[in-house]
Amino acid sequence: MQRAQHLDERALAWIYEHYYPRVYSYALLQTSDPALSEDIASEVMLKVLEALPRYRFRGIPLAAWIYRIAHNCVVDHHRKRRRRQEVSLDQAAPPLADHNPEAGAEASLQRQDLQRALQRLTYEQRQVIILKFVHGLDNRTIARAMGRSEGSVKSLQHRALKALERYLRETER
Amino acid sequence: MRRRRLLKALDDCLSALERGESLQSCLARYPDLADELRPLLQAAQAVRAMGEPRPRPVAQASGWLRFSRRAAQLRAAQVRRPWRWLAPAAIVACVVAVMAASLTATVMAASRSLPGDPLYRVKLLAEEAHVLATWDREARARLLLDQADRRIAEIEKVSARKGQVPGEALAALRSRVARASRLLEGYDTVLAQQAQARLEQQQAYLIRLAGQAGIGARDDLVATIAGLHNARLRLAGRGVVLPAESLAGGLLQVEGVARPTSEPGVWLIGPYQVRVGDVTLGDVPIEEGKLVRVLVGRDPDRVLRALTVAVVGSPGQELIIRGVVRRVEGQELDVDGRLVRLASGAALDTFNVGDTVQVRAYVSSDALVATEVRLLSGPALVSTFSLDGTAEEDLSLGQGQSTVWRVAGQRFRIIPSTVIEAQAGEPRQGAFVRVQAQRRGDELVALKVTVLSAAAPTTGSLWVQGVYQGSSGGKWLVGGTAVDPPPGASPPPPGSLVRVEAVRDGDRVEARGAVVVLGQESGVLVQLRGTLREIRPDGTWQVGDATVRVGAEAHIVGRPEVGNEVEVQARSTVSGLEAVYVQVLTPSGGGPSTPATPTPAPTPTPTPSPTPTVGSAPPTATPTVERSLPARPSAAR
Repeated sequence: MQRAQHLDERALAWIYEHYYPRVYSYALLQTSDPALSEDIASEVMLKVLEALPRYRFRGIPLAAWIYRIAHNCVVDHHRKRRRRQEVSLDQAAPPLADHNPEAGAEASLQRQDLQRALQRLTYEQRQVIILKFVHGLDNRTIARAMGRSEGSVKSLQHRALKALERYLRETER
Repeated sequence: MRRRRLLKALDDCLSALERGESLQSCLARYPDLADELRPLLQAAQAVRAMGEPRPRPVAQASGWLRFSRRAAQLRAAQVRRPWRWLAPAAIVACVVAVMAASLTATVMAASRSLPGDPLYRVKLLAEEAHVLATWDREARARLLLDQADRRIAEIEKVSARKGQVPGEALAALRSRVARASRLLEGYDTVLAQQAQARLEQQQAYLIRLAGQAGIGARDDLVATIAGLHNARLRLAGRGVVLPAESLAGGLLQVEGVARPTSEPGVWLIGPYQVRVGDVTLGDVPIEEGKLVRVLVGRDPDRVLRALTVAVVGSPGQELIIRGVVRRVEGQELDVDGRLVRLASGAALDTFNVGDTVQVRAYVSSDALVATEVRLLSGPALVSTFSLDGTAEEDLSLGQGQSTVWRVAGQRFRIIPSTVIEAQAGEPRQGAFVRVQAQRRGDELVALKVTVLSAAAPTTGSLWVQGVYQGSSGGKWLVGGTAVDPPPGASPPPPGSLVRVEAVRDGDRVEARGAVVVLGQESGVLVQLRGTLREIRPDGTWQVGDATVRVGAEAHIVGRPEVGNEVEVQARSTVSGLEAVYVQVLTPSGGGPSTPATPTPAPTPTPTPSPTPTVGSAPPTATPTVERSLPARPSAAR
């Protein structure tokens, strides 16, 4: 971390390699727009780079700090879109870009159902589902990334799973 | 209440599923909540199974281009625009302007000030202004390193004059080395290599000083030693930091044969267990069986952590150790903290705890083994010497019989117990050999014969090495035998280990010079023989697998080139091996070296030293001087 803060190239390369794909998938699952998500991922990584020398570990792990920046970027883009009368995040449900062409057709259909159900969740519910089950973060890091307490993350996780299960059930019908 | 229980059960089951437990076994733990939990857990499993969408490699790569370009801009701006120094810069500018206008003389005086003087702060500010006015990164780093050297010189002066270690100079030193190392971090340049060597020397000086300093200054010194170590770690690109607390329990130097323990990263160096890790610089990873000198930091929990490791010797290598016998236990001696095991049949003077001794030893796979222990006090001192010269006939040994062998015009009696080491060639006529001998009555008795190279220098040079015992009848008494002193040379301090160089021209032998290879002080002289593998720009040479610093003060015989077989006599210091004497044995072409340039040998300068204490037991060997070396060969025959 110290080497990255001194802009050491190898340390920065590690951060980029490690977090660009995560920020991208986070943005994609939030926006359902691959091109926009690529822009967001690049923008977030540049913001991380600019802010890195000022980063101090005050109980906020690096991952949580980066997801916070990603969250702010996604919300900014969401606001701009709303101002431009574009489709809202919660309404949009196009299929996500699938970079796994070898996956079976059935699996692909299931994934599309799941993605549609995910898009019907509220922004925060979706955020907790992505961070917890797609990126595998623990409750503490999620709480730091979302600026909430661990208790409220657990509660949000429960509500999110309940809603997701309901939407999935509705899709099956 | 039920909701809280449900949240807890959900969280618990999610963690269990992540660990690989089955859904059924999770639900079995909460039978009353199973119906409610099952669909939630299935939904979670479905999301987990979905996987993470991956970005297009081309998008990631183009993002990296923007990212790395921006990083380069920030890096350049960081070096060019030192905003954080602006405030002190303004102060410095004002101070310097006022001083330049009205007090030029004061500035001059400040430049000569020392820590504790009223103008010392002005001197530091003026130096700071100089740094700020230097834009080029390398030039700025060089300037900071020069200023760090100046701080060391000031500390040296003040501690010698006042017996105090100046805290403000230590603080200024810390700041300068930290900034210089940050400027050079990640650059593999000659300056970065030189910086590493300079920081190492500064650290070695402070470690010596810490040994003498009072308790009051020790914390500050330890913090500075840690700061220098961190600067060195940064230059080495280690990406780790040594916290000053790791040295809170003190610093010590340990020397011994390295042996691994059952715990990874922990080595047994002599009697100490030492951790060797990321913060350890020098000859790492350690190889089992090497004789290493380790600078160790002790943390408050008394854990020993290696800061630097220097290989001092490899199995088979010879050393001369001088020091006070601290402890004798069975066959083991403790000589100033170095554990030495006595070889069976070792040549011993009678000595007691507290005596100063000279130990000739070699490195075995698990210990230092002494073959000779001689008293360094009393009238006799060490009564053996070695002669390097050309064998004038083949050495033929009869079964169990003694024979006489002629080397460099001297006749040595070879007895059954004489050790013959013939790895570099056979002891034949024309070979360059070393005879370690002792005068017994009329005879020179060879204790050990070592073939240094198959072919000797054609100039007829010879070298005599031994402890200088005093002078008698215009001759020097060296290791129990008399040698003609080099013309104009002042006698070295008694007790010094000297090497006298002479040239044979037919029947004539002329002493040319003398070098003190080890003074009266305690210490270790390592005799390395091996191939010169590399001569590095930072002044270190790779001889075999040992790294030796060859400074301007080293006496060099011959023209060393990479590929030569060389012998190096080096002192073991805090920062590793410092060459005192280098001799080319065989040039890379395989022919004999031509050492007798002849190089003017420095006259040994006597240094004041404590008077050797007289041992409680009399020495076993008393030299009788009947013949002299070097001398006209006819006189020796």
